[in-house]
Amino acid sequence: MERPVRALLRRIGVGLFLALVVVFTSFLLVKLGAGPTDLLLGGPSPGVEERAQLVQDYGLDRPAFVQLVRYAIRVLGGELGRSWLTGESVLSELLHRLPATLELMLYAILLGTLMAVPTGMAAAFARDTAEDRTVRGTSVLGEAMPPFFLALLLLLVFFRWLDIAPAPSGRISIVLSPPPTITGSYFIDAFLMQDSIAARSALAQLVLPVFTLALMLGASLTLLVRGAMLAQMDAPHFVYARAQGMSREMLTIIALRGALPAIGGGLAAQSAALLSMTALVEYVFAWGGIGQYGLEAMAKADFAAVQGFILASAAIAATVHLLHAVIRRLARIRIRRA
Amino acid sequence: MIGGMLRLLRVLARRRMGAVLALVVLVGFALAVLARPVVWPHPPGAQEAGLVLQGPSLAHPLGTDGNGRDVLARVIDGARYAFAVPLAALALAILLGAPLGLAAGLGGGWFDALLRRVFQGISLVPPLLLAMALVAAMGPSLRHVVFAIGLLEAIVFARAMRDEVRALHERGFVEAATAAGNPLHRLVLVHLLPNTLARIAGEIPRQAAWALGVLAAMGFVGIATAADTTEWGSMIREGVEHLYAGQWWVVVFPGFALLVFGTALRVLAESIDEHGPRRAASGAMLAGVPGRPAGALTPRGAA
Repeated sequence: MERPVRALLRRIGVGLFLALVVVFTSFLLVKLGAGPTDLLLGGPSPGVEERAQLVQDYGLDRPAFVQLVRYAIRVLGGELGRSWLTGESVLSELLHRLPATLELMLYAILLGTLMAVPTGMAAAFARDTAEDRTVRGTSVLGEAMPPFFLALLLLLVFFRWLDIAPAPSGRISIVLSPPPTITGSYFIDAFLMQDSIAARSALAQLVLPVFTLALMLGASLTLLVRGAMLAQMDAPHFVYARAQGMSREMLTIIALRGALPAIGGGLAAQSAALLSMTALVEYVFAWGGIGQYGLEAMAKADFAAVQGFILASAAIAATVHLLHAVIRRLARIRIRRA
Repeated sequence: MIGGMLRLLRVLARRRMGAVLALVVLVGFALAVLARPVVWPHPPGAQEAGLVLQGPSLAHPLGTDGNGRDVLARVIDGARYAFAVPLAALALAILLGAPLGLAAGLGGGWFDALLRRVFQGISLVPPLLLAMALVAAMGPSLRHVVFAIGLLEAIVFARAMRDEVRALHERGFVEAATAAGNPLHRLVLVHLLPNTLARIAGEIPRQAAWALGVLAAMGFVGIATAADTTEWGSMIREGVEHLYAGQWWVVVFPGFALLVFGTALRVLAESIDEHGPRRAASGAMLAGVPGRPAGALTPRGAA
């Protein structure tokens, strides 16, 4: 077989194996649960028919291995079951809420990177000075900050005390109705509909949650950028460039270019942490994304929804890793051409 | 004697001020918990009907909560959880993870490869969310919290241990020790464990900080325990409605306790990383979550 084909097949094989591990984890979650599976999935008191249906759907009267296989087939076929609380299909509820979460994460990544890259670079160039130590200290503080506490602190200051931020009541003011769905982002949709009142409200609702997440992400990103820059600045080519008397701007560009792969890799590795933070921040701001959905499902013992949420989180993380791999591959091709 | 200790402290302070400060904070919390009946004799559970949601005052320096309970007494009492849960989870994680990592690193081959992929798959699920889901499924109990956190942290230790053993292996360390006539148990206990554990020591306070954050998140969402406790996350949960009404002290003080405790642990971790023996540089297996790749290159997020 051709080498690229074999490499591709291998990648698909590994991907499939990872997917199976995730599905098994989600299966085990309910198996480890307190109580029989049908009661965990069907709520504390399902009707006789519902119970029979669950037993049949999941093969609960069969051995555990058969149950696992059935569950895997169901999940890989996109069947995530029904929430006993709302009676809705978990998959459609997740898909419905996904844009809200992605919007939050995307803005947080943009703003967080915008804050972290210059700060981390400045700290690296000022290595071991008071400036560097301040940046590092603040970053460690940010890493130790519980995301929900930062969200509450910002709400206390900007909503309760200064009264310039709106109440944490979701994605748009409660007196307005959400714009018709085009992209799923209330702000963009209202903007496209030229509904300036709704757009302004959606934007105002975005500010605090995005800022919370960007600060949290920025803290660890800053350390990452600083570390990656320092690694570059110790490299022989950089020492040589500096000895040549290159300008500070040129040196920055050289170091940043070399540090980009490490920064990108670190950002991809942060995706799981970002998802966790987003869930907690959504919970505080009643954001209505999949994070809030998942955490509330946990608190209310709605396990079909919890399983769906766990699978969805893994799917998002996997997508980020895939995107990262593709970007890295493309960048490598560009370097080879150049 | 005391002068000598002071001098020692001063030398330490000059060399690694952050670590000393962090230790002082942690010891301070420990002393406060142990001596709480003497230092601040207010019982953390006592409700005073007439003193609901009082702001900070001399009688109640951190105010009172919605049930008229003294916030200071409750914040101090909550440190019990901040010590006990991460410590117990760490013990479980190391007991489970270290042997697994040792076996994978020494054995190599298919077992190593399989374990690597399994860990990679599990780590696709954000560990904080997985731990929370586990506790939600098993039911609210601190024992379940410890189990869930310990299980996920075991992955971190197994990965780190495996990488360190592998690095020693590649440098001929294992071969040399075996050639010198060391039986397997001596190789593992006398040669590998001390050398690897010293290198992953920084991971211990870092994982303690992670566990503290997970515990608090569980308390905040209300799945850690059935009854309300003085655990800082659940104190914050109870206080949220009061925060929006302007009674900030009910939330802000337990939150600060979390922040200070977590920062102390992370500063300690940074200091160990910086001054301790260098970690193996491979990091290939560590890339991802919830661990932290070798060195200061890729710090883990706060979640």
